[in-house]
Amino acid sequence: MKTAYEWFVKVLQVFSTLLAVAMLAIVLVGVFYRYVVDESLSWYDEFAGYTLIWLTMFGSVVALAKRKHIGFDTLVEKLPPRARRVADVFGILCVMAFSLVLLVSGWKLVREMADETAVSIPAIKMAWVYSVMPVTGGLMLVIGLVQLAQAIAGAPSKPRAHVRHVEPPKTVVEAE
Amino acid sequence: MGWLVLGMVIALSALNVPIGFVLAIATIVVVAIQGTAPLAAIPLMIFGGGSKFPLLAIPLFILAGGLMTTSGISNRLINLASALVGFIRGGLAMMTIVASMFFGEISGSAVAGAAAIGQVVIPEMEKKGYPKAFSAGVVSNAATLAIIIPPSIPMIIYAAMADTSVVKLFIAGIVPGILGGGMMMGLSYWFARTRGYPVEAAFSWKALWRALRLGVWALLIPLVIWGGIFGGLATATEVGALAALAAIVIGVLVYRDLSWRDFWKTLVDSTIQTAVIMLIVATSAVLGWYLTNEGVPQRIAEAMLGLTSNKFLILMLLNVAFFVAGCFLHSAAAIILVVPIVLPLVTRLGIDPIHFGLMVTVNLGVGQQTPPVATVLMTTCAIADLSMWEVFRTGFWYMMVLVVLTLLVTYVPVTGMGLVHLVYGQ
Repeated sequence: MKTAYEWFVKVLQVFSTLLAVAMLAIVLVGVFYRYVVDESLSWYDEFAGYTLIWLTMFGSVVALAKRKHIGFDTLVEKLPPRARRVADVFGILCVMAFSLVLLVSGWKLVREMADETAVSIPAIKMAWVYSVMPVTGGLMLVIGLVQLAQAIAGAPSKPRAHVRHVEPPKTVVEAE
Repeated sequence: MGWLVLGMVIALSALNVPIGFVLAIATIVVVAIQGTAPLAAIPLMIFGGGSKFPLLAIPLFILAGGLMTTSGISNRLINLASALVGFIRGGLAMMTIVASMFFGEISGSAVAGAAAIGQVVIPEMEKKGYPKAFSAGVVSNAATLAIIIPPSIPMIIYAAMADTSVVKLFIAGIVPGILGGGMMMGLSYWFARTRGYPVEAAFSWKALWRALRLGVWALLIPLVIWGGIFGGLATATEVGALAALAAIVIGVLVYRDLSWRDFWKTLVDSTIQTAVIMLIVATSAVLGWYLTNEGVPQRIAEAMLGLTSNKFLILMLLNVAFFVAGCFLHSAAAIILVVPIVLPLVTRLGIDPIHFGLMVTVNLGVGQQTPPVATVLMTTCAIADLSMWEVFRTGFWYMMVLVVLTLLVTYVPVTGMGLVHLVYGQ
């Protein structure tokens, strides 16, 4: 049985992956046109870049939920349990503060961009393109709240990948 | 204020706040205190930093690397390496190094290489009587060759930060990468002789032929990639598109070991991996924008040049700085944080940014092997189920090969730049 929260994360994960597939498709079509058809698609670099930042932001929301973001945990792991919990709560609050700035300032940005349109395709409004910032800010805020509640309730936060007990990764989740 | 930012970055990182968030938070706090810029600039900067065209190569190479592991391409490369060098004393160690070099020609990620090769090779070596910690040491250090041999994710990030040609940087990495592999193989031969590690089956043309026939498609991918690099594909993104396409066609359609379900899983994992790295890249744009506005890089350049203008000495200091950064930071984060700050100094000294990029890449390769933050070493230890220090000790001399290689590319620029000049002219 999955909780609503797990479904929420799952849906975001599928959406991020579809963005990655879209990005791959755009790049392949662009390269195909440039080298095979010998014609440059005017929208290809611009929109490939937009899908990249969209997948970065939505993927980051998923990575936050799954605690996959890269941090330096050597020191915190040496702390006694109680101090560690304080550090965990502090970390979550930092992430939430950032999410709040992303949500509020991102919303201002979207409003300011109301009249701008994309360079290569004027039919597309930049407000839509920039909407990724406040939207992912809000989503991160939600995940931050859930994690905050978990940390304060003292529920064991998902065990961090420990060097000794981790299963050999089939596919790797951390890159370089 | 520059110091406040630096202090916050260090303090927040030490408390295990994810680095991608730390970079943005530190800048937000300072901008809010100073009030010199509207906070609405922050999401705009992040958007700009994360939507640059050259960075598209990162997800493409991550996907190619992921598919190689899950679709059995890497296993075929390991077989081929075994048929090529397995007959030498210490054959399995040799094979690991050659397989890592093959892998590095396709994937730009050393972590992916360590996982793909370690899973197969470490149990195999244990069966043949190699100490497990030794095997893990070889796997871990040989995997780092992947970021020196093109393509390379750290090189892509460097080129985007330094605004220089990534294809030239790729070419600069070829000779040092092969040299590093050669030195590691020499070291393995010496260890095998002195410690009596076994020889695999005798060399046979028949076995080589069989491995070649099974692996010919897998071998085609590096050929496609190198053909793209030398054949004039202008950007790393285009090379990356070719690599991802080749991995999909060969891994999914030709070899057919990969179910659609696992294909989707590989896509999901690659996406999250991309997001994790790209968030750091994107938020670093905010910090970089702030530091440049404050003129921090210029001030550092002047302060250093006031002390000494000896190129030799400054390069040494830069190497030490990157080594320390590499011990505590993920290599992508180290490049993103340190390169923009020291780049004015480097250009003022008249050092070629390609030469410097190669130096940084190899240097951070050492950082992948040095605890506490050692991404590749950690991945290998997880597979071998050993502690980091154990493997660090046994792999020490292999890591020294990487150190020697760093000094070599720093002080004998022709090691890397020779091929670049040969291809592009002076």
